[in-house]
Amino acid sequence: MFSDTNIEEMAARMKLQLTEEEKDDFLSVLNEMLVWTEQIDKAEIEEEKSDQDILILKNIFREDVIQPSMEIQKVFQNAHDAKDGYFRVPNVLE
Amino acid sequence: MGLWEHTVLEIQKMLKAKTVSVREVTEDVLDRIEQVEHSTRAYIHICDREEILEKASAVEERIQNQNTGGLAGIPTALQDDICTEGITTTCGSKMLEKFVPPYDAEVARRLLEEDCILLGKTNLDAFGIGASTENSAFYPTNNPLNKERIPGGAGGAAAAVAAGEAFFALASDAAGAIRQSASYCGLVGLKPTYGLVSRYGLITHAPSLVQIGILTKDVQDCAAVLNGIAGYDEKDGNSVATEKIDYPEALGEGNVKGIRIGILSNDFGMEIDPKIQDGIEKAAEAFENLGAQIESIRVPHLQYGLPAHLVIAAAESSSALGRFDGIRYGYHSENAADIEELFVKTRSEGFGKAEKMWMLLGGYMLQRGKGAERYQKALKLRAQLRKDFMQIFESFDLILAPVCPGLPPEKEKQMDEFLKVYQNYTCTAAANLIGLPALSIPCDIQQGIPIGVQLIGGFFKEGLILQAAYAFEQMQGGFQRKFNCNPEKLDAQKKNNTGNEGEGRERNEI
Amino acid sequence: MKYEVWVGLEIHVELLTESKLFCGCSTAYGAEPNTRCCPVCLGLPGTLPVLNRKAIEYGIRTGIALDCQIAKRSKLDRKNYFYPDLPKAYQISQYDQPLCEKGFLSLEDGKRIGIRRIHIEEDAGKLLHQEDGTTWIDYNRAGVPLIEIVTEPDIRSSEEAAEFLENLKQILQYIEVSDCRMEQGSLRCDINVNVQSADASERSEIVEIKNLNSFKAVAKAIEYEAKRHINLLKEGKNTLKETRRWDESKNQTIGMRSKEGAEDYRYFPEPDLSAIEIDEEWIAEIRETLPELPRQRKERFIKDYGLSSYDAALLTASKETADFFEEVAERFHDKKMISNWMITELYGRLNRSGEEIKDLKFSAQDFANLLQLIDNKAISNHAAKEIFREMYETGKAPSQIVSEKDWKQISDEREIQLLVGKVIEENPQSVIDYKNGKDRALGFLVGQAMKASRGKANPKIVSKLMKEMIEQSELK
Ligand SMILES: [Mg+2]
Ligand SMILES: [Zn+2]
Repeated sequence: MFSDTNIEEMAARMKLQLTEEEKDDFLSVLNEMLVWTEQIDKAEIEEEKSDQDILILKNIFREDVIQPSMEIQKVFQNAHDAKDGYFRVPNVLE
Repeated sequence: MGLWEHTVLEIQKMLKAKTVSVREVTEDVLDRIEQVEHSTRAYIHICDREEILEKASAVEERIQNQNTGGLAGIPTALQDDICTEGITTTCGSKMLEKFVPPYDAEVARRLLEEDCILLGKTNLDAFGIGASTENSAFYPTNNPLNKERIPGGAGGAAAAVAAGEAFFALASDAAGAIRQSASYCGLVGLKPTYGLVSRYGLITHAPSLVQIGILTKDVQDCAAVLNGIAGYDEKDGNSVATEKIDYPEALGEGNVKGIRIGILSNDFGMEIDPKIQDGIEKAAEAFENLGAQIESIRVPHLQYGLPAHLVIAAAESSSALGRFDGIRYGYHSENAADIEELFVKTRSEGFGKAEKMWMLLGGYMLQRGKGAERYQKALKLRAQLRKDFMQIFESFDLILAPVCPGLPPEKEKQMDEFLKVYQNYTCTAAANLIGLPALSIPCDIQQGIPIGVQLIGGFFKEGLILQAAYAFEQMQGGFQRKFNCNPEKLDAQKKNNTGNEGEGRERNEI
Repeated sequence: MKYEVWVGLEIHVELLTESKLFCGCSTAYGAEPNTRCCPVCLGLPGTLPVLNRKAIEYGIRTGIALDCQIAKRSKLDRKNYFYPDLPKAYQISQYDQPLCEKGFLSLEDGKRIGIRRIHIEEDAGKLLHQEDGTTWIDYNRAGVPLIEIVTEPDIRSSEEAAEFLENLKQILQYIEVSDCRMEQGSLRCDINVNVQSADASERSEIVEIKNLNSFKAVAKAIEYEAKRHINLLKEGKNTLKETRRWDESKNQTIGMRSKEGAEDYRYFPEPDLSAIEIDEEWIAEIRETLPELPRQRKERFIKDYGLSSYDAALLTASKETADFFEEVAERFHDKKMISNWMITELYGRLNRSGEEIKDLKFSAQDFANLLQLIDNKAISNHAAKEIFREMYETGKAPSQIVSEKDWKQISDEREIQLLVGKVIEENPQSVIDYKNGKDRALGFLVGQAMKASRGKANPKIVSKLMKEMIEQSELK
């Protein structure tokens, strides 16, 4: 379940900062949804497989062939900040 | 009767017979948009009139030279989660308000290659999370048939087609949005088999659940449009190379004699409104009269379908929405001191409430411990449900089911009840979970509100679904004609009823 | 108390595919920033990955070469985290079904270092931290295919680590899945290290060290860490579970971040990609294209060509040199002589010019011809070296150089008799010295004769005739 503290932890992991109002709002909704999904924990099933593939597709590959890359102005078309052919962002702490 | 009232096929015939020109058709729809858009708010972006008309003239010329595709000259709309090169694609969110894709979604590319006329991009819940189009970052869309009620999750696309602001529209369906909106707006809505239509260029929160689908006025149109967009695409790793089917041909004479149809009207884990039950029964009767074999069926694990869907959809959201960080594209918070602040501010300001909650819930479902266990169980249930349905398809050709558990909810009634809104997908989500094709077709009217019925088929059985739907539609006598869709009238109704419009965004007065 | 150091390695290797893992952008190193990018590898919304078959084959190839079990069924997963070099906020990697598992690599003394797993994943972009505090990003590398090779903690010393890495690099180059250029980042190594007391009663917490840009740095970091861990244990303390980095200039490791409560990457199956099924047939196909591996080749060189272990190791150090040796060996009978010439003359030249076998301007046939000329006594050893230098620089055939420069060796006894006679006549004192038992004088006289022939006379014949003719001379 979500609590006052772990909702903030999860938000931090999602790179989100919740306002107090959001936090209150979200807590009840999220816990309602969590409780509702709990019903599947005990669902009895025969199927023990859990593939992610929808159509049981397998081995869909492309061949190792070079395709033209994007024109440089298109690369930066939607970028907020670029400099000398690089994307530029504020300080990244290592 | 305005040109905008016609179906795709009717327009095609007129264009062929040269009784109208592409320009005339296009102008008529553009006029219609000007006339009713303020009332429907179906579009987020409408392309420049002059540019559209220029394109129409160019297509006209190609038609003269008999050098055009199957959907040549048909004015159409794309939901705004389908990327269009050079045209903003917002996905209904502030995050992408100014995003101009440098590429076309594969479906957009195919339609343009077919010489469709793109009118604009339609409204949706931000990132497709929601079931009412009220979670759009810009404004909610109104149901052109009944302004009190929501238009469903593919609301903009459905409203545009229903109000005659486009002859057809493509939208996306991750839980049932297309079918639900078709049902709420009296249209035919198809979600194809996962893998039949390329997802390349579709912005989504739930990649394993979503398919691009079609909203049209009738079944023949649906088949014609499916011809234009179906088929293998090497850019989508989950695209399937199947035998090419001519869908309009597959409609045949609309014969369902001997087809075995299973009726699925229970076990959804939720009450189905008796009015809806009624519609299903009527539809079943109709199919029986047409010569189909009808039998009630049960899907053992169906009740777990929706909660399993929620777990998976939320989990995928928490990952799919990570890339919106303000660096390469999209909303960017100003004056962030460091990268952490850039990430956090951009995402906190750019995302709406629903996306945030979905991500938090999904983060929980993927984190070590209880959450991840539940996610694993949801995957197993997914496999189990696939098995359940496959077993049914051993003895049945099609499944007849409700589309929505009730009539379209009233607007703003459920704004803060996320779970309740989501539960509108009770009857549709299983097809997404498994990847099955499913279609919604109008079957009844209750209190002046249309009701749809759902036809679900085995993998890649779109031809059979369309054939049965066509038979049903013919029997009903071309269902969509019964709605005299007139948003102006609805405006007047509503003003008389409530005296205000109840939504805060700026809009043009008539 | 005696302590043992336990080391496990995580090696990231860029694969030699032409295009990236999920899109058609070129992987070529050194392009202008952000010019090898497309909507897919920039993570633009709506774009989808499609898996490069070659990358999977290279992964399997590596698994076979390292005696791994190849998965029958494998899949890709998303590893979710935020970092500006990661365009999608997740790396497509592999979690619970890696391509290969449970392999090993044997060291020279026969000790096996276990390979826990080999999985495939995409590389991230490159960050350049600027002096003004901003960071610049180049996404050319984003989406380049990598394999991550994870060893068991079987390594017990810096020497073993270095030997393992040298061997691994050699194998990867042999099977042509990577060029392993550490300076270009195509081979990167992280280490996990801790120490344990001999009776296993004491052990330090495992520390991860990143940013090791040479095998030497790996060895030094292991030694540094081992000492640090042992000292802490001796003081009754312990290490922190943390990530450290190697500081080359200070010759020490520096703490970066704690691993307590380490990030949960929320792994889950990549929904946009289908599963991978690998049948026996596919594995057999790949196995067939595998070259002989360095260890086997070296053994065969010793056995078949009668070479010393040392020489065989040098000749099989790379696939190219071993191939070259065998090409020459097909054309020339004296394998020891090929080995000597390759190791001294050829390697010497290559080292000096910084070139590789593939850059050679002459063919194995030319090289064999040169050795044949020496063997036939058609040219002197001295001339051969000159000819080789010319071959190396111009690529001309040895026979052509010999005729151009008139370097054919003089083996005709009568011609040499004339030369020797003249030298004896001109150097009476040396002849007398030799006759009086000064052996060194003979060397001088032979040298004079060689000089007179401009190096072309066969020195063995000169020496033989010199002795005979001095015997016969009347000088005393
Ligand atoms: Mg890794
Ligand atoms: Zn690319």
